[in-house]
Amino acid sequence: MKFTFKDSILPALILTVICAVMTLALAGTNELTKMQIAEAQLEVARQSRMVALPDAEEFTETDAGYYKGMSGGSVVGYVFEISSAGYGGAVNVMTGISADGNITGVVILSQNETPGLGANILKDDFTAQYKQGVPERGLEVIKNQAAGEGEIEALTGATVSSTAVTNAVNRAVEIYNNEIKGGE
Amino acid sequence: MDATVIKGFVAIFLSAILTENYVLNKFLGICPFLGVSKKLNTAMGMSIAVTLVMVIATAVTWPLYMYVLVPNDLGYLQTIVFILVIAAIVQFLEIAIKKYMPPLYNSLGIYLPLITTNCAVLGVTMLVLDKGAADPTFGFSQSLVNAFGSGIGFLVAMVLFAGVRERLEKCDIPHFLKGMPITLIAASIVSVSFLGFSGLVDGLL
Amino acid sequence: MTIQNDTKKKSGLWKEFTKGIIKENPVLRLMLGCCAFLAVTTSASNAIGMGLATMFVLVGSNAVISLLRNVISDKIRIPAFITVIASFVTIVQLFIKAYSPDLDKALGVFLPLIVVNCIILGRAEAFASKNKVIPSIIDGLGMGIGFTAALLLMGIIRELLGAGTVFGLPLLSNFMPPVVIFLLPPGGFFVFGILVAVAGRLSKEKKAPDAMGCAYCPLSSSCTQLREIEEREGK
Repeated sequence: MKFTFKDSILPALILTVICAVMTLALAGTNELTKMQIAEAQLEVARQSRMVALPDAEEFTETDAGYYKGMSGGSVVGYVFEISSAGYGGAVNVMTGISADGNITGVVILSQNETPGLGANILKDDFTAQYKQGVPERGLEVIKNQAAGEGEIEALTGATVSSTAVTNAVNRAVEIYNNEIKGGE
Repeated sequence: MDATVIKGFVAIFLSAILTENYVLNKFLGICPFLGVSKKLNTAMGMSIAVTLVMVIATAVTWPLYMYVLVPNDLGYLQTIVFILVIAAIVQFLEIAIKKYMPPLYNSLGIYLPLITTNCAVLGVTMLVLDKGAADPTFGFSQSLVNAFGSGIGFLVAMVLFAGVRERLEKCDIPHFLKGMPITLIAASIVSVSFLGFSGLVDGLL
Repeated sequence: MTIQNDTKKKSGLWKEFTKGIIKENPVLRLMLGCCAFLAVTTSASNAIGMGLATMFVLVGSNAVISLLRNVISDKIRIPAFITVIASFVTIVQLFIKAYSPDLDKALGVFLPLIVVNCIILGRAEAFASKNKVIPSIIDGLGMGIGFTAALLLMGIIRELLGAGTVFGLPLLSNFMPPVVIFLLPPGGFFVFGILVAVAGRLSKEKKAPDAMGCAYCPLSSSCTQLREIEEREGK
């Protein structure tokens, strides 16, 4: 086979041009959407914080990584973002704890659990269980019986996912008990 | 290497095969699963080629993403870069094996071109990055183990299913379900059996 | 004369449009794009999102590849197609991330995996690289709608049986408890099998496809060789 311009260099040249043009188009789209993506992420985070700690009007980030919820100049509570290992990957959980020691809300920020089983951690019925007083040691996951104080009833067929959320909430409780309650 | 690290590798490997099986639990690589699982030999050949490409592709794309794309703020090019890298690796492997290992080429060569568009390969290179983002201890070596385990998981599913299909050939199937429908229903039943593994790996270790 | 030509042309385009929806439905008749089809159909809204994203990529890549069909030589065909398709996928990805972060989360890795959806590479190879721009766009639209319709059908069935809801609205709650297995992988394979059987019955040939629709795939030559090996060994 002869090594000719038409057979070998031209196709390579065309491919390079296609790649260059397409990459330019992508860079353009990226510029166009960059702001919007960042804004969308901020907006989601802001709304989740409002759900986790409904009493707060605004939030300030602390150096320790959690947020302080403020209302009328005083601290009404704290919001913690913690990720723990679930069945299908990481489960990101936002926990709100009020200044007087109650868990005010739990929001699942992201999860990759099985639809129909583990993904039910998104349901309000499940997350509402966490709204109770902050326990001394942490919440415990139980199965097949009604949950009492300091207990969380696991979802049917999704113990791992339920435990993942509970672990994240417990971690938040731990930070609250050790760093905030003791410090103030 | 201390015991917990090794234990971690074993857990990653086992769960990649059993609880996170690419074909039966994650729906990745369905095309070859349905297309080339009629005979045991071809199923084996295809899976070995897939495993090989999965590990090599992860070994290339992981550092590329972490040390080239992310520091330069080019994360959005991930999809296009990864698929082109995989296509290049497959081409390169084909040439290299043909030249240096002709017997291997005779048995695997035919499967290689099919792997470029196998979503399990592109899937594994992206999913290990997700895992790494969620869990900081999930680094490069863990990613390689995961890729290898995913390939073996693919092999297990293919080989099991090839056995099922060889039997199906001899069965009397209602006309309505002949061909693809009965194959899919058989796949459904095989995947029920894999549901049974859930929680197994956590319980073992 | 001109009127006749016009109607002829129109009916030709109409045929290109409708063939993808029923006769050559990419998933149910040609068995292409199965991975995404099985994975994202756990709810009707995810199914629609995936369908529309795929349709956008399909129409865009068909149009560009058809425009470039005279410059792309045989040697660089596959890498050139993949580059074009991957670019459109990234564009969709960025827009979905920006305007519908929930959908982005729900589709997860299957959004970038549109790149390796055989429907797109298959249409590029079988149609766009041989036809003019307008028919290629119409072909992409038809195939895209066919794929979306199939996804939606499967999404509705699985969501209704598995969760008792459709688009999140509770419909079955008073009649029966949801059968969760329809949302799990086995249910996906099962409903898919039944749908393929029904589509096969309703088609002209009155039977379901025997194998994957490799004929439209650019890598079909390897597949055909594999088939031959399988058949040789089978005998």
